Amino acid sequence: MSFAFTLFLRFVARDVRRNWIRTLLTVFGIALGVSVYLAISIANNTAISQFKQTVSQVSGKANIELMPLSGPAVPESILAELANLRALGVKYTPMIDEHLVLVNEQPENSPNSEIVQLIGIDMLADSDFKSYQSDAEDETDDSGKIRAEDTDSGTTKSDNLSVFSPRAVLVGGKLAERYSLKKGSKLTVVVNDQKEQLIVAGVLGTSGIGGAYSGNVIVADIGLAQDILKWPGKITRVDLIAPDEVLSIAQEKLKEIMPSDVLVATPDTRSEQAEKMVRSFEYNLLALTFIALMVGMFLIYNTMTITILRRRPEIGILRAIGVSRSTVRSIFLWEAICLGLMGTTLGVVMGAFMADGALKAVAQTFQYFYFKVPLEKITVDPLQYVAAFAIGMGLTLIAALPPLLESTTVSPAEATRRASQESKVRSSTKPLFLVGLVCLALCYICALQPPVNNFPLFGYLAALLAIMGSSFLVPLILAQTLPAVASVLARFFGVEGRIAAVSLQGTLGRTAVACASLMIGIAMMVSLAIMISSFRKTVTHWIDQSFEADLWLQSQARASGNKFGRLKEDVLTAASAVDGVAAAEGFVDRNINYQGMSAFLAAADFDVLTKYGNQLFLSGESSKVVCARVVGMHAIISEPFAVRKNLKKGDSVEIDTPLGKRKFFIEDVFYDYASDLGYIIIPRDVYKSLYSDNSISNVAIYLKEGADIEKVRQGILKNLDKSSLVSLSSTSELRKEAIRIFDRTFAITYALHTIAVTVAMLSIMNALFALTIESRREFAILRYIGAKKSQLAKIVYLQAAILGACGNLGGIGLGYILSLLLIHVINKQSFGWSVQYFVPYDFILQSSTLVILTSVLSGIYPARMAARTLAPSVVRDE
Amino acid sequence: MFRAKLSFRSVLTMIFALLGTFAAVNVPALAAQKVYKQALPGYQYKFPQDHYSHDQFRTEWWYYTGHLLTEDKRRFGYELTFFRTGADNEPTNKQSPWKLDNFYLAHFAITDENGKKFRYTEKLNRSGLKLAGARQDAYYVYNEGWSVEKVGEHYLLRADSPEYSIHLVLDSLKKPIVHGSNGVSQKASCVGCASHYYSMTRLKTEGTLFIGDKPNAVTGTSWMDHEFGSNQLTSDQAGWDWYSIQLDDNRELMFYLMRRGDGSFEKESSGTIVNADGSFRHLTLADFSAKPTGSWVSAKTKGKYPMGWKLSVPSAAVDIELTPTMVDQELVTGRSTAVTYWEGSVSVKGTSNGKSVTGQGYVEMTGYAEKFKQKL
Repeated sequence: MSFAFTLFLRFVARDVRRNWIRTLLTVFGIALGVSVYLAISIANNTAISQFKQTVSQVSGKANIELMPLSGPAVPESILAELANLRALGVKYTPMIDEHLVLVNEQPENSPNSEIVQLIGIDMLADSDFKSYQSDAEDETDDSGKIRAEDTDSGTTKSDNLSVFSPRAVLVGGKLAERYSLKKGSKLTVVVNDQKEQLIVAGVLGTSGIGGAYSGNVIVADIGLAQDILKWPGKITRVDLIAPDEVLSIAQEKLKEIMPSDVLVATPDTRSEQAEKMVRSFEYNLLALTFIALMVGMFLIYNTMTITILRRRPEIGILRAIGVSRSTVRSIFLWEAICLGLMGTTLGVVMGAFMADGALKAVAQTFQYFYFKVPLEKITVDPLQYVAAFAIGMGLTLIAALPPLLESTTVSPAEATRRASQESKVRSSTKPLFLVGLVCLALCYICALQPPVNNFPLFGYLAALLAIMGSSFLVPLILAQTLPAVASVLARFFGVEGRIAAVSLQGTLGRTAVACASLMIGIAMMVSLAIMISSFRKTVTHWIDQSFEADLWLQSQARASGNKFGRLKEDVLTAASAVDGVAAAEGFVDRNINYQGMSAFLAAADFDVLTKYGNQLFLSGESSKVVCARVVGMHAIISEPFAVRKNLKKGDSVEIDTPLGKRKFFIEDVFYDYASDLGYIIIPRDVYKSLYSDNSISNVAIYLKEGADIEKVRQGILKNLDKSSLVSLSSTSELRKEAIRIFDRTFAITYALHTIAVTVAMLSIMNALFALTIESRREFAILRYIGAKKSQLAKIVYLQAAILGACGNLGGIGLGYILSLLLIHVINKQSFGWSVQYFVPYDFILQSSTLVILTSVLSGIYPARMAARTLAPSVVRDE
Repeated sequence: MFRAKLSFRSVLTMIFALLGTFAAVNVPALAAQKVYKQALPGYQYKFPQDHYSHDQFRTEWWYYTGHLLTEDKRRFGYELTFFRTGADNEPTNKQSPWKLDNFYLAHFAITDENGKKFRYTEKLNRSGLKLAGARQDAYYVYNEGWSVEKVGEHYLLRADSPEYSIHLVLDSLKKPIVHGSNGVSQKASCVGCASHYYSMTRLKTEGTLFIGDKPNAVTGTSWMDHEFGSNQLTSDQAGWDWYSIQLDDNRELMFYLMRRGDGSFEKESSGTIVNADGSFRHLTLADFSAKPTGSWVSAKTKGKYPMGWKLSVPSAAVDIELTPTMVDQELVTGRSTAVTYWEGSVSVKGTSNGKSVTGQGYVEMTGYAEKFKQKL
């Protein structure tokens, strides 16, 4: 071992040091891959663990929950059904857990409004739950769940401000800090279209409920919470604590006695649903980071292959003087381990620093599309560091494996000759090509497979196969085309051109690897560019088509991000009465739980839609025709819903409503890009009778021909209740907003693809360095026979350009395949969106130019190195 | 009566302490305050109606203490109290189970006099969801599974806790006696600083005491207090001592001493002596003397309580000594910041009308634990 170690130090470490730039590039390449992976997985984990933490802080030791299946709330009358369970020792408490908009009355230091959580608890009955949640059962500890800081101890007789005072609430520490709230402070919230004043009766500590939602929480007695939300008689859920021995009996009993639109679940169910909801989004992000990792793998493979190829003669000598195969293998293994360790460690450190940024980039998307949990600080699970480290090291070793095995096949005699190795590479190009074709065939087969549990497992596999397959094609294609390239270049650049191409072909092994890694990087960039622009194009088109109304009215709460901000139905008449308004269509949506998954149930005035609307339907039928058919128990569903639930036109969909299960005939499927959770839209009159809900989420207002939009807008505002706080936007404002949300959602994707391309560029530089160092003998001979320095430099630049161009060309090809997979398989199966394929040629042209330019620029240093080659010294080696 | 002591303020203190949210600052003008009726002289009692809840008064309690004997001669003391306190909020017409008009509290304590074990539990609820309440049209007061109600001429008491439960039938051997004079029991000199207060001083008791899961038939004697008012205590009162004594010669004595901050007794402190035939007489501070014979310091609250008393009412020829059946009968309700009081069974020995006599009683002391003083 100590011999191997000495050998390692002399033979490998010295070499690694001498080629420090290449070492650095490799290490940095791995580091980037590992760091984005870690950053993204931390961001993902934060979202889920914040959600879970909040569930446990709010629901504490509850082991059963009753949740609404058909909206945000259930009637509190279900509590009466629970009384019998007391005999079993079951305790229960109702909860309200809903977000509302907090208005900042002194907007100089923070935004005008933000979403905070309102938690309503039964301040009295909850004391049972409190004792379960705090560690206070020994009566000496008073850190109960609802523990407010008691700062003033002096009490005056009549002025008790308590949680039972009218409009009095407790606030979380974070909130109190941000708005300088203390006992007696007032705060203003907006619910639906109304402002509400509340008084702070105390500031919560960070334990228990006060720590939920990171302390961005308002806690009120449940009656007040109902008042604030305008939810008379409604609660969000019931938390129950059942003794373990009766847990299953209690669950069975509950299923028997609860109405059909109430789900008997556990607090874990909520977390599981949240996980399910964001899974596609998270895996998509992770898959992108894997591409960066894969490019990093190529970098390792590249480096190791080149090292071993380059040092075959030395290996041969070692073998000749009696060093065993295993020793040779182990010293190269140690090189790979060292590179991996450096790169992975650096990557983990960088990832930890990048995690904050990654979280910021995805936080709004999580909050906008999935759940409103504050995502301000990353939550780190040490296991994620371990995982990132293991993945970095594992992939490094996997990538290094083929060259390592290669190294031990070197026999003492053979190793002293280099040519034999390259000829071997050449001879294996055809088998590799065949393997590549098989991979691509498998890729095609995988692409046709359906999702597994709504997860595009085969889609991801197909992408992997496409990448592997195309990489295997590279050597043969290069072998076949480089001669042609040589003759073309000879025509334009003279003998240097020919030499550049021929010498690349002479070192086909490493040329192919460099080319393939660049190809993958480019492919990722191209495929993402195609996907994003296709998406953007599709969404823009969809918005243009289906946002037919001229004005959109919604409550200020909804405009501020509270999806459940509502308006009273009479705004419809108020809006219709305004001169110039042709029609006003009321739309309302609510969260429902459909077969264990979150989805939206919405209701629209289909008679108005028939006349004025323009939904795009999968069947291609016109909006008027389809909408006219949606009456009674008929519905239209959004494409993501159809894809996820495997439903189509003509099927029916069964929903749990407060009045029991109701079946709706699916009239058609409409394109929708507003949510991947999916919509079911039913006629509003049916909705009203099923849910006893007359409220409206937003109003689409259609103007008469020639009406002045500004006048109508003023007219509507004047017609509304004075106290009503609403947002009335024009369609163009709405479109802008939609595009803004779209871009924000994809911001992280842009960032990831930049990083992948960076890794790819690193691999070009790496390859060029190796190539140049490797070509020193040729360069020396060229110098010897009279070549000028500038000619050598030119050769290097040309090689760089050839590599860049080949990689780019292959990348565009592979990128095309990947984009097809992304758009038609992975995204379609993950989110259910049909995306019209659109290639952003201008971007691809620009990026190609940039790639080739960067390749050439990355040749600067190697070119100088080549130019410095001193003929005699090197040739003497020969 | 003395539950009088657990006046509105202290009951509220208890609620807030339970919640850990006791707070006092100037309330912005959002709060409309409800106006409660004062306990004023001239109140005419009518039974059984006055057993019912009097929601027009802010504070009210129904208070049962008693002594039970099992068939194997083990002695137990019990306390079961139901409180109602009205919220300050202006009542709304809104029909919501969460509407805050009354809070309902209840305390249940058992003293195992032979085993020297003292256990208590408490409840706090609002009337919504029908989990707690006190009817204004019948004698039925309940808090979750605990209740007291009048069925025919019987009173049924029921309270369950993990360690002890009582299911008792009580029959009053004497008519209710009204304390104070002219229908009010004055607690301080100010107008309205009083309550309406009556007792059933001797209730024959039988039923079941569950010890853990095991039922034990019990017999015994109980005492009932019912008191309601809105504004009894003044700010310079530090606490009170209350005694209820049942002598074996079929006489009963109740007396309360309101202690002022300076250590003196409120001159309105008073009591009642009930004769064997049910007739009774109002006693003033001058009629009564109580001398502590010992003291006890609570390890839990550091409160220093008198422990053991010599009572004498010369005008009624009562000269007795009270010995606690155990010292630690302190209730710390609602965790450490809450109201703390000592409420315990005592055994009685002495002379009555010149003859030697034994008996049993309950004593309540508040304002001795430091924390309680702070809160007051």
